[in-house]
Amino acid sequence: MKIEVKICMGTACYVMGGADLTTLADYLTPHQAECVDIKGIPCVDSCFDSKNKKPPFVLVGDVMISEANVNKVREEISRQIEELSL
Amino acid sequence: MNNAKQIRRDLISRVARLLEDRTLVEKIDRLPLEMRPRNQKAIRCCCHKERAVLKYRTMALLGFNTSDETDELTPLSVYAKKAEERTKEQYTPVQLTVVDEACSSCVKNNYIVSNLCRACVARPCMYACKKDAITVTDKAFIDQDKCVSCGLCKEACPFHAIIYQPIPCEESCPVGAIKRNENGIEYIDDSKCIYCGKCMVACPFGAIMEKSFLVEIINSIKEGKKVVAMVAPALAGQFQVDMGKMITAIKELGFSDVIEVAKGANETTEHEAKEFLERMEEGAPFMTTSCCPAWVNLVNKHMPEMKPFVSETPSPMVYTARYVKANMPDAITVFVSPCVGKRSEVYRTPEVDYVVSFEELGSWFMARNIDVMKCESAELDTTINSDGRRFAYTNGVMQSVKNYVEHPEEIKDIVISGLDKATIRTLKGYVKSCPGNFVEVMSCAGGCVNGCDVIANPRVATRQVDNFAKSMEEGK
Repeated sequence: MKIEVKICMGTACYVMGGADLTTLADYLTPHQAECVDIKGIPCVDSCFDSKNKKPPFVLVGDVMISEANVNKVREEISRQIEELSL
Repeated sequence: MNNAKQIRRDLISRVARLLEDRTLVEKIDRLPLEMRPRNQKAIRCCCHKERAVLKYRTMALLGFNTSDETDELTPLSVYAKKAEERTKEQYTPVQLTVVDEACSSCVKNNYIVSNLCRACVARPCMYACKKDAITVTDKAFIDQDKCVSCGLCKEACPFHAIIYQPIPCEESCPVGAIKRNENGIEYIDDSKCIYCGKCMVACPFGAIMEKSFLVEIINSIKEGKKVVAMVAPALAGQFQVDMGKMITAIKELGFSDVIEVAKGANETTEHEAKEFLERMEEGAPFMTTSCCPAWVNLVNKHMPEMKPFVSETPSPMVYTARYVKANMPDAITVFVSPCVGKRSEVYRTPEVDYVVSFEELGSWFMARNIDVMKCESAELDTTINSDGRRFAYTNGVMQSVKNYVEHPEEIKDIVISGLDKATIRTLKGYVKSCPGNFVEVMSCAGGCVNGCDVIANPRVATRQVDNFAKSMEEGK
């Protein structure tokens, strides 16, 4: 089983930092890389949902990360790897 | 991405939204308050400081320099009104402004004693200092008023206890144009500034802003004028979509037409190649490219001896604008730009009316909720030779000229990718003796894909531009 990492490629997410996440795979350990399936997805519309949550949004499994950056996403990935003992 | 950039993009998008709604003058004064409500935790000292910083950042977005302020009480709405009534004659050539409110006046001097200091008996730092600036009690102490940042104390300390703390903007400036005033606040000496934009990228406080044309551009569109976007080749790598979708997205903003500057790049190639061959025939030792405005500014302001060797061929932007003006004389031309350097070129180019940066474009899409990924693909100009599209990255101009000339083996190429103090020294040396005969100079390492206003990772963007260029070649 692989953890799905979905990076929102909507314009707001992309402009506010999502562009940096296009190289996410380069920052993962070989084991982490094996455990995840990274893909870009069209706008998740989270940007209109909440006042307090800001783009860019990334979905790791079913955990939504706001103001995402490489570090935050990587941390969540390793947390889930541990939880699922992959 | 970093926090300073995020704030800037958020701000650009909010200003664009007000312009789109035609409520700029009415609502602009509220903008800093909306962005920094009273109960929110501040990054700087407090929300009031942050609001003040936002005010001056907004001024730049309205097309003013911080120094244009004569009375601190003048609200943003007054500037907004002025901006809406502004005519082209009122522009000033200064394109970068230091938001003094945001400048943290980092350090007065570059040398700092760290806690590694052992207050040793020998005290070599004290003896090394020629200005009598160091005293030692339980630790060495540098008198900031006496220190001249010479660094002798650092060299002398056997414990490496004295550190050099750089000032990011000054360190990044290749020509020493940004300096501290008597209060430690940075200012840009316009007689030296080459508009490379490196200080803007380097400043961790986001204190340096470029002057924007957003008001003019959005208002022209809203007034129903014919506004044409001329997109720099580097745009092809900025969003994770193909150029066709990009063009549709830009048209959705209200531009009546979108033209690839790669078209003008083809003309630049042709003329540059001819100019090169002519010059070689006349016995010139070498010629340099002239597409990069920061490089041209560098020659004009700091290297007059280089001037005879710089190509006089106009840049792709100029050729493209001439084409637009010839075919649509009533059109307003807007260059979609990766950098601030082009703003300085536009100031001396009557054919180009305004500039919008990649960053501004992206933020404007945000303001309008235009999702570039969901746009339909527009038809592309198949008459463009894809070599012009490769102007976006380093070696692109060189390769394009090589592909054009009959005997490419006669070109002994030198490619300068990124201007800094070292490459400037090297370039100065070429005036006396140049190991090649054709020199391509790009101010940003890697070329325009790494400009100061780009959104995408330069490595990803380079690949994408190249794929686009290839796909268009294969399509033919």
